[in-house]
Amino acid sequence: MLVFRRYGFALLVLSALIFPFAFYSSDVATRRDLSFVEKLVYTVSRPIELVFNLVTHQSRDMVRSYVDLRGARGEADHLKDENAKLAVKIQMLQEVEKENERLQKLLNFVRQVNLKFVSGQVQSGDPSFLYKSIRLNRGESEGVLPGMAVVAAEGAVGVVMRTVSKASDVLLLNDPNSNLDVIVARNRRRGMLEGSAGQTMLFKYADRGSRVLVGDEIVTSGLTGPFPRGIAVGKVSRIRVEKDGVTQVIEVEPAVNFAEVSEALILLRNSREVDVIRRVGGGEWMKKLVESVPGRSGG
Amino acid sequence: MIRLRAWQAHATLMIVLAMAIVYFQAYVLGRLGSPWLQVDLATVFVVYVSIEHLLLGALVRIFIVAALMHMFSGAPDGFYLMFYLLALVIANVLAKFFALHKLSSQFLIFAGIFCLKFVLVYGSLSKFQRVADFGSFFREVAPSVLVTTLCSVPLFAFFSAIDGLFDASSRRDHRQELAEN
Repeated sequence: MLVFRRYGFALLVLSALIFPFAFYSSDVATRRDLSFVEKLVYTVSRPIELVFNLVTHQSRDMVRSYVDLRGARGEADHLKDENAKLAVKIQMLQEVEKENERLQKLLNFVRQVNLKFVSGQVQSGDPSFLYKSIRLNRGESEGVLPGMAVVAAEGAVGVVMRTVSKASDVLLLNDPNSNLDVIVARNRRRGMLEGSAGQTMLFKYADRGSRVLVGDEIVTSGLTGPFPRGIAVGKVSRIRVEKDGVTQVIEVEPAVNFAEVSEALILLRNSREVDVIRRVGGGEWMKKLVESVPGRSGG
Repeated sequence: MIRLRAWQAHATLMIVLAMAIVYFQAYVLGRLGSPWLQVDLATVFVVYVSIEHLLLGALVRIFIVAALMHMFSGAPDGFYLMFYLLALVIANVLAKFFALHKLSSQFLIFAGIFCLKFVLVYGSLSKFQRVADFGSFFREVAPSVLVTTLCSVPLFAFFSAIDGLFDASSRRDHRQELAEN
């Protein structure tokens, strides 16, 4: 104790100086498996977290109910009009859907609507305000595993990075540590979508000669990663050439407004590569590999 | 009925406060879209305990905050521990040069440490990300730095008031005791 009082601060200064060297010199990423200490922190803090979750949800619901009631009458009239228009549109779309189904049968197109999923509510956001993740109220007990894809109605949201029994943390696509295999919907050119420190994402490693234009829609490739192909990811919002005249920075605006996601679907299927490795090497071998080499989260 | 001594009650309250701050930041502030509402309460708390509490107690609280922040965040492993350890050291060093009772000094200390956080995050980005979006990174973090620095002064007073409810627990009291002896 006396030693700590005398040299404690000096030791701290030393460790605070060494830590950044270790941190930046290693390829540090968010691990998928929880360590013993992390599990302990989860278990101990979970009851308090649940109480906090309940209180914040109730308060948010109360505020929302009040706000909703204020404009309820005007909104009801507006919705009646919209409802009538939508009824007509639905009839038209039903016809289009029938035609679509017939064409798909002809093309032997395998629809991927039979994917299993669980829906989850967003409980919390990332408290760092810089890295981007959300916590959903579905976890291992519902069959959710790290590496599974998360989607919303507007498109891809992210990849599950950690799970506990009743919750899972999702790394959003615009997080700097996120990577996803994508294609340009217009010309099927392949590339890698990486998150960034800002709100947009960066389209990298585009095929040589692929012409990407502002407004191009970017969708998941389905070739690697947990996402099935064709899920909307975003649109090219800006293309600029760096000072070197060679590097091209392609910014992609996400299809999903991550701040407004309140519910999301977790697709209960694993990454394709992971499945292949599991089949070839067996579950135990895969587990050892994951433990020995902490990989980056992402698609 | 459990009877706690003053320092035990203080330690317990500080741990509960640390947890409440992290949960509030994750459940409420983390879900708000506007960067002008992103007040980094956890860092303010860490800087406060670094300056005002005894080293061992401060370390325990900092580890708790770092562990909880890590549980909620997509940050790389060890990021919070690194940041909070550096914050502890820098806050202590700065506190030796600036008079803490002055608002301007508190403002400067907090501003310096929030800037450190963003430098550390920027350093952890890939080279391509750094080249590509320094502008958007700056636009994103500037409101958060400003609003947190502004909020840090009243928060410092709030934490100080909580400490004032307990005797002989803070480093300031400890220093006074040492001076009197």
